[in-house]
Amino acid sequence: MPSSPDLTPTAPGGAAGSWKRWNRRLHYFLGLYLLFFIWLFALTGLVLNHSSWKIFQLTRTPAGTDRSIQAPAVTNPLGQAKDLMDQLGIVGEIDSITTRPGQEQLDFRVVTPARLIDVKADLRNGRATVQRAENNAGGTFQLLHTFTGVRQGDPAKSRDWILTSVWAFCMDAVSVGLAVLVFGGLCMWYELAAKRVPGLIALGLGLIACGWFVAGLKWLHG
Amino acid sequence: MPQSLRQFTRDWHLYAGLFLSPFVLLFAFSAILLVHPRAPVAGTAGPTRNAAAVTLPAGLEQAKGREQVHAARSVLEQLGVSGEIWNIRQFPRERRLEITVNVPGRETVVNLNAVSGTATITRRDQGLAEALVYLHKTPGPHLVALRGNSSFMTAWRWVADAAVYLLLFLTLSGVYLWAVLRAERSIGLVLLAAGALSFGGILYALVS
Repeated sequence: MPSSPDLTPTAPGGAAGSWKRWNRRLHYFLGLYLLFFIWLFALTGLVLNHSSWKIFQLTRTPAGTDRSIQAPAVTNPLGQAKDLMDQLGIVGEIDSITTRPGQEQLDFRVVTPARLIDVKADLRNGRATVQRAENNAGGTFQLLHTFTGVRQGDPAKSRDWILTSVWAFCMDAVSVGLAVLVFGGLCMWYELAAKRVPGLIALGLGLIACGWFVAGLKWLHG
Repeated sequence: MPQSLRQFTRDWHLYAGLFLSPFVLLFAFSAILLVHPRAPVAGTAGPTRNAAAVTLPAGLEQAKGREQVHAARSVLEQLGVSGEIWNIRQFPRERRLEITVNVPGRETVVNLNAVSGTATITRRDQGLAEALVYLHKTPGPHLVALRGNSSFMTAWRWVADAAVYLLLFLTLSGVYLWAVLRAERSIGLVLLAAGALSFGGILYALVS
């Protein structure tokens, strides 16, 4: 299929031509590979800004069980929580741990995008209460956007579940991939001499609108 | 017809992409900051201002939610403080209110004493990274009844939504523009399938 004349970039041979070809292909192929990730993060972002959309509201169905456990051999709370998770067959990211000195009580919360599990372990008597709360599909969907295993303002909290790390890597990869798509797109636009002025207007409007929120408001509000 | 449709799609893919590119970079960069949070930035504290003879609107202390935000707005106007009211903390025994007001990259805390009619205003500049993270997270799912109480936050909600719709247009038009290129179809299909598989696999592992 021939390209329309005004959209056909000058295509010199050699290194410049090769770079342009590869940049164009990278733009297509990277976009295709990341397509579903981009849709997920875009749509979950939209949902998070519209909490009133009932279909995506987070609801939880709780269920509790009482289980026997063996006191973990390790003494640090994180190690104890991981040991108990193995015993109880729980997988997920440890969100918080509470210990009560002198009481041999260990309470911790495990989260995944699909569920939230509260464990209250009585280490002295070898009993644990496990409260599982399953998220609905809409809630699970929106939690995928924010499931990073870390919290702003809490540098001590680190990821302790391999899948949280994999998901965080996906978030990084999508972010870097989007930046590559943007810069590749800018290069492709610049090659189109006929589109430079209208493109510059579109880019300029975007920069002004975005810059207004990033820096302009601070200036406006003194 | 297909030729003109392709040209039309290509033009609008280009212009929409150029317009959206600063926003995409904003969300991408702030996403990395959110996935790898640093220690909280203290920011640059500005001078603390004191104000006296502040007129409190009737019912400010008793009001709740949006109503209280509207009442607090008139106090903030007297004090020359503007922006999105983030939250209002009440200390009923002391008859004191703490109003946190944000614009991207700046936080202002107004401590209001309802007994003496005085206020202390503390401003903290937070820098570019905090501004980007703030924009990424707002308006967000929390304190929905309060959020969007300033004109800029209402506008940002629209802009953030529009960014999503434009991004969806860009992806769909991009898929169309790729699909009409016969030479790139097979590699593209492989990568699309690989992306779908890795996406589905990770998602399945995460939510199962």
